[in-house]
Amino acid sequence: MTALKPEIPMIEVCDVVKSYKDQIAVNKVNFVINHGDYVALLGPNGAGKTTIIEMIEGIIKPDSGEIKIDGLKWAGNEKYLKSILGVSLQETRFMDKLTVQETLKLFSALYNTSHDRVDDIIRQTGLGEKKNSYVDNLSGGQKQKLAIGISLLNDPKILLMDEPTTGLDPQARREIWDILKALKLQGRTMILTTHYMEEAEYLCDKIIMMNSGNILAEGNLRNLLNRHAEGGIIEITAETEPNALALYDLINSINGLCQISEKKVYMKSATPVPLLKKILSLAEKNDIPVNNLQCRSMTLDDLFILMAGRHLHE
Amino acid sequence: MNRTIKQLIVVQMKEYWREPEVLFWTLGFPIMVASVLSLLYSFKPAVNYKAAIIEYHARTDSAIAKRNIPFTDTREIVIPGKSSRKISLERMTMQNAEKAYQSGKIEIIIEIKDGSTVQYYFDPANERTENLYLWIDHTVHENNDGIVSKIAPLSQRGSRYIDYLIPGLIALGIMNATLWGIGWTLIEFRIKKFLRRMIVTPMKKLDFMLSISLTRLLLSIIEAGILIIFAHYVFGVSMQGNPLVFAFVFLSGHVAFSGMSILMASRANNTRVANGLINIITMPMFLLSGVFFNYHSFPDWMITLIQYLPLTVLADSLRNVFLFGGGMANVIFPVSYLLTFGAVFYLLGLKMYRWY
Repeated sequence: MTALKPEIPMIEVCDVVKSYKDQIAVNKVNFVINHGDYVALLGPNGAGKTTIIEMIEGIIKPDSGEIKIDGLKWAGNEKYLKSILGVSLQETRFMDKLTVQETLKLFSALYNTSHDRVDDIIRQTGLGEKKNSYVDNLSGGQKQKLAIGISLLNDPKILLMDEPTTGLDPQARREIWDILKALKLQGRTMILTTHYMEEAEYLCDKIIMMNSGNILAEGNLRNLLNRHAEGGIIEITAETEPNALALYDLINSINGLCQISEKKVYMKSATPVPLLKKILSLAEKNDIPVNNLQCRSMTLDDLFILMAGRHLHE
Repeated sequence: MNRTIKQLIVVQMKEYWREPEVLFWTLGFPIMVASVLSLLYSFKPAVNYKAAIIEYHARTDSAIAKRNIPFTDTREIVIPGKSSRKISLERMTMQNAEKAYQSGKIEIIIEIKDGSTVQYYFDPANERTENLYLWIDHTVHENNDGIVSKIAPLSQRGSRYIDYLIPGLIALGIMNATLWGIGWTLIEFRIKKFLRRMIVTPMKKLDFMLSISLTRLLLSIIEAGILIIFAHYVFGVSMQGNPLVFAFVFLSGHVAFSGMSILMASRANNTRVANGLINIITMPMFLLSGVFFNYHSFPDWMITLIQYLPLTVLADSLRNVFLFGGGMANVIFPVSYLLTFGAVFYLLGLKMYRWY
């Protein structure tokens, strides 16, 4: 096996375009991921995240542009590249009537790794108590742990995690995060697709925000927020939706940057405190009751709404 | 055998044994069919029935002419009250007639012993043939009161309906095991994204296909073995030919239907489509290929087409070895046909195959 070359980026995506019929899924996307980076591809459904992951996995080819992994293209290097990639799909159903251990043994044979590796993975993913349970009887979180465990069987240098926690409850999600966080200490590189901003914030050093096949912004979390979000966010919750609408009209007349979502009206402001005073006085004058009021720092979700005009989890 | 194939086979066998419904339909159902059909040979309407009339000497001929028996100068009898159904008569020697009866090409043998006795050979357990006998005998007696009818039951091993049925059921089992076992499994793996997960490992695609095919071959061998043992001990059915030749025909049938399964499963990505496709492929063969009833009752133009159906080729060849002791020379052409058929479909299927 060729040794990894630290001076070469782990993943390079150059001018990549991919279309399905007349729909552009990925549009001239460029990014570089270095050794040991944990990178989040953040975006709502249909942003093009999975298409990029599939092109990096080598199972679909870009229409144009180039993808290199550890400095190598897929053509002619399949065996090596498959041996350094660990993949967890958005949703995989394994054989229902196989146990956890049997499923891991199967994939261990496919990767040609030792039997001891199966026991290591069971320990690493905390599936010891469930090792003899049928896959059919596992919870969503346990199934996802199994999927991550399988992706680790070949001791991969690069992990491709496609929405590993979608649909899981908060506790299961936290357990998956802990597993992924522990893997970072082992020096692996990871691309994680998600539409949970807190997942990206917790796990990743670098964030690539995508919408409709394009990259909107990329960088580390603090840089992104500092670059795009001076000041803070004011969020006002009205008593009823008509009240929220009245409040929205009112605020719009003095600050054209507000948005409304059900009973909430929120806006970005470089000087939130004076603006807040002004809004409260106008609300009182117009007899619009306000239930809750918040002045907070900008989050990735806020930034995404500002850039794409939609929520990350849409 | 490499570790990947071995492990793939082991997990598929486990998956198979852990599904009680699958066990019933693949192991229990063929035995149930064999038992029920051997007891209740249900009537299947057909346009033309075929009967053999044993060649006789000139001396008997003149006696027959005197008696007005309607077999001397006619090749067809119209069934009384059913003008659309006819019985075609073919003259042959007793030896050929018995062989034709065993292979299902004719349904009854008629021998005119002398001017006054007509002897019928058939399996009395077979209700359909019994009806046929009654119709023919009615025609014979219509203008000949003095004729004596005798029945010589063909119930020795090799001549009964169950003997005809068992090789057909084995052929049917191969078709079902591959089309449902391979085709359905591949489609289900695709739907579950299990194939998608496997192709990002260094697994060779050929290893995967081989493992699927070998698993089904093993299961088909178990199914056929159980059926043969059951038929032997319960009905006294036994194989006349060389088991190795039988195994060779069996394998060629498996190859033919494996190729067909892979082509069928190459694009389908939902179970309803799969269900429809499998039924479209299997139903015509199930009805026409002579698994349960001989297909020689169909019009000649249909027989020509039916004879090229892979299930017909397989069932006829298995019967040839099982009932008549046919050797390699007797089955080499059908086996070549099945192997070629399988290889072409397999290559086409692999070329078109969508892995996720």
